[in-house]
Amino acid sequence: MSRKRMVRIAVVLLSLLYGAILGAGFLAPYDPAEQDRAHPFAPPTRLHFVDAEGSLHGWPFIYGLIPSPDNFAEYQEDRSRAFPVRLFVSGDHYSLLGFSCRRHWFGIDEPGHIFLLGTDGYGRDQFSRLLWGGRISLLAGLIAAALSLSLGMAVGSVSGYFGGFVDDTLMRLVELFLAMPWLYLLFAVRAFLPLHISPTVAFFLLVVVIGTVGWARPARLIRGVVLSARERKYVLAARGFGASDFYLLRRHILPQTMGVFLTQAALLIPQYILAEVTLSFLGLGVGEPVPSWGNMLGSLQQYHILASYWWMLAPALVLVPVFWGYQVLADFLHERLEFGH
Amino acid sequence: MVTTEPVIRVQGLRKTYVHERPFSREKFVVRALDGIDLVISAGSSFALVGESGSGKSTLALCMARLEQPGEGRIWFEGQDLFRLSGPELMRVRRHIQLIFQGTAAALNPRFSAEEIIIEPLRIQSVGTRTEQRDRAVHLMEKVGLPPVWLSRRPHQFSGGQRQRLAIARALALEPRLLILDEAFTGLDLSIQAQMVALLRDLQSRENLTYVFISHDLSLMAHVADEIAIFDRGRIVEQGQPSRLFSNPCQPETRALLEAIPGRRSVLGLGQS
Amino acid sequence: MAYLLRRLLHGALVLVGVSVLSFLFVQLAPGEFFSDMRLNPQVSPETIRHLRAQYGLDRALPIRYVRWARSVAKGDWGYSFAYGLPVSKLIWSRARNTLLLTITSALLAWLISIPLGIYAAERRDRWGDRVTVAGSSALLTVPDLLLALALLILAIRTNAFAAGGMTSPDFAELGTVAKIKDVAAHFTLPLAALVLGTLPIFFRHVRAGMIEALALPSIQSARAHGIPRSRILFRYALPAAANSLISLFGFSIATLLSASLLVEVVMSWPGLGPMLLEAILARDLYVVIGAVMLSTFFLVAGNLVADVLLYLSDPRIRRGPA
Ligand SMILES: Nc1ncnc2c1ncn2[C@@H]1O[C@H](COP(=O)(O)OP(=O)(O)OP(=O)(O)O)[C@@H](O)[C@H]1O
Ligand SMILES: [Mg+2]
Repeated sequence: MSRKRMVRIAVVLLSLLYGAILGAGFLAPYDPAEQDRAHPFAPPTRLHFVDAEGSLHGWPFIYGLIPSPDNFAEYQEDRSRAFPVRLFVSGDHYSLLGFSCRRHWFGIDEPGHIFLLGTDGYGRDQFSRLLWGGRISLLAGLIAAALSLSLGMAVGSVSGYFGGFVDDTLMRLVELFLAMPWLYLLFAVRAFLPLHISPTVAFFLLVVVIGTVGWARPARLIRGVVLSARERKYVLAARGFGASDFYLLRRHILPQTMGVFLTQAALLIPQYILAEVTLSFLGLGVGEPVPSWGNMLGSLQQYHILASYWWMLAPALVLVPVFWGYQVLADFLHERLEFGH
Repeated sequence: MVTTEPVIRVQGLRKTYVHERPFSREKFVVRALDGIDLVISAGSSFALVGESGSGKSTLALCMARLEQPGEGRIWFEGQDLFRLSGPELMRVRRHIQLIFQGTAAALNPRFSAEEIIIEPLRIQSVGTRTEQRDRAVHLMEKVGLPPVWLSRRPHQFSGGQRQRLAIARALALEPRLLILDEAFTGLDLSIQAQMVALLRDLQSRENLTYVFISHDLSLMAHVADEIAIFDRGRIVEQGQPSRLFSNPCQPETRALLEAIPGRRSVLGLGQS
Repeated sequence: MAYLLRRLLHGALVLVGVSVLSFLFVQLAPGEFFSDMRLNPQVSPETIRHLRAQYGLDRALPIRYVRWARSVAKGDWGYSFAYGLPVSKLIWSRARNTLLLTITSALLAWLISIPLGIYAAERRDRWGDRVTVAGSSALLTVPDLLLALALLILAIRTNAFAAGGMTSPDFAELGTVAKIKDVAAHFTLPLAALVLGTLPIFFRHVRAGMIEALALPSIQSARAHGIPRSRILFRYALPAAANSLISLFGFSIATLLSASLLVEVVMSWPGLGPMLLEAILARDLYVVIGAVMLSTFFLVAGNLVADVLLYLSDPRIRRGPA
């Protein structure tokens, strides 16, 4: 596959993923917190096109689900009751751009249920939770990366541009941060924040913690670029016209850090998404009832759940396309922007 | 001639660079400028000629206040250059323009030709946007570049065209002192002649002072009315071109004269 | 020699810096080990005050730091609130297990990635290179967490490897050989997770370093002189790539330490990771600081070893400031 096409696919894929989490309310058939105690660990609902009599349908339908009377979390399809998949149905409330809506992309008439990716131990729809949880995880990655990069940008450009004592001090600090294994560092910082906090507070604390831990590498790279950029003759020439430090940074020096900036963003975002997932997985991040990809995976720490209900792995599986997309982007940006054309 | 304030007065200028070898404590000191005294009067064309590494560019940078000398002082129109700050410095920066040696590196590759030419105007807040644009068009025409190329980036110009672009930029602020560091090197003879004619024309209309820097003595003999011979950070000989050609006192000057191909004919030109 | 001394000093400074930083975070932190006790009606405020005084929590931060430093000097590394033991007693066996895991996986990962990287660089853009690069890229898109979970599922489903922990419940009754076998069986899974997780990173690093070395003018000209390929590779290119291989050594430790933290928790390997997590949840502050310090220490030590190697391999540094 040609390089360009791969990058295009990656961009489309990432846009679709981000689009999906932004439209989570509309795309998800159920409320992410809605429990269905009758259906714990229900497997993914099968879409049928051929009914019991063997005739073909042009539109998918599903059968009802009967819990097995003997075993926990075992189900049988109820062939006597078929429910067609309906589009643009009215369902639970959600808010979209501040408007309260109840129109959903698809759904099933009561008393049927459609669980595209099965349910968790509380009978919550995994597909809906995956979409809503993606908001937390993907957004955490974006915001934390923005934080890291702006910190790194500020430190790196001050350090590289002014040099001297300021540079020495800041670079010692950078080395200190780089010297620590980052996950330990993340844990350590998280260790000293309160444990039991509301999901919203937890989200912002998490983002701040992740963001502040990772500023060192971008800072060092940006410093390097600034250091070489400020020695350019055209910077000297602009100084000769009477340009201020601020002007030189803004017009000549910072634009050159763009390549490093974007490449680092493409590297940091997936890393930070994983950081959120890891921390929430271990119970140190965003907690119930708000779904995040990390806390959705948390129950897999129990081996029997891991062994029996493979669909619970879905939040970890969606990380693969996210990682792939960003990796393709990062490689492309690295070659294209950092080493010039 | 009535003694007016010289444009540039240089006194006892010294500048050393310390070269440090990587992974080594060994250092050695380069005396780029080793006691320079110089007076350049208004409206003149002064030339600095010397072999490579003799410190010419360093002096040019000091005169444009882009390099801090170790010792010594420079006065621009009577003002001590290295004591200036704030709005006064800003005003002086407007009057002194330097065209860098190796112009390609002095043009930001991300900028368009238009952005490059109007950058000094922007920094000095001269004129409105449209006035700046008009000025850019005018300057392009002046240096013989088609104004439609204003949207091009530097790498889309040839080496000689880039040099003319740099000259256009240096003229944007209508300076009183223009320092041209190897500005004609690499231009073919017809363009050289065109540029020289342009500069002469400007000089006759606005009381401009030029400092040319080159290692090509014959060319300088053609454009300058005073030449200083540079060697290892010092001025070893100074005088009018005709005098230097007919009666060179220093071995360095003679060496530079030897280097001119077809010297005799050039000599004739210098003496005319 | 002065160079190495300087690096040593630098490492020591990093350790001090990390400890100060950890203590600063403590200062900013709301809540502590004893704050949960306050909610307990059976514990009198008097007792809590007494306990806090006993552990020195009522003192100012600098004093606490000095006390802690003194206890580090004594070899105690502070006290665990939860266990009432010196941190060092808790931490050593855990650290040993973490080291066992990380060092083995580092060796294994190097053993695979270095030859593979050299091979790929040598046949750059040809078939062999494309396949290995594609494979490593594919592996790189699998997050550590997924890798660990997938391996666990595999283990549970196939019953081929022991899943979780370091030993079986009946470990104490086993003979020596059986004991070793038992540990090895438990070891396979976390080892596989770590090696597979770090392999693509190392591979990319080695390959990039080798490609750079092969592009050097001296090697290009050696090629033009018709010196045999294997000789160019081992006599010229490999020494030229030494720096990048050595830097791999330093940086692989950081990568592995972070990766092993998660793998240990997921696979219940009794290393520093699960202990750190437990300590965080219990607000057992000195244990947290101890674990962070120890992991930083490993890292600094690894970098120091890399510096020594660099010093030995690079004459420029040796001849430098004496
Ligand atoms: N920024 C600098 N750092 C260190 N040394 C420098 C620097 N700039 C110039 N030098 C040294 O100072 C001496 C004079 O350099 P300068 O550029 O002034 O020479 P030049 O006369 O312009 O030569 P050329 O004709 O080749 O341009 C040289 O030996 C050079 O190596
Ligand atoms: Mg020069």
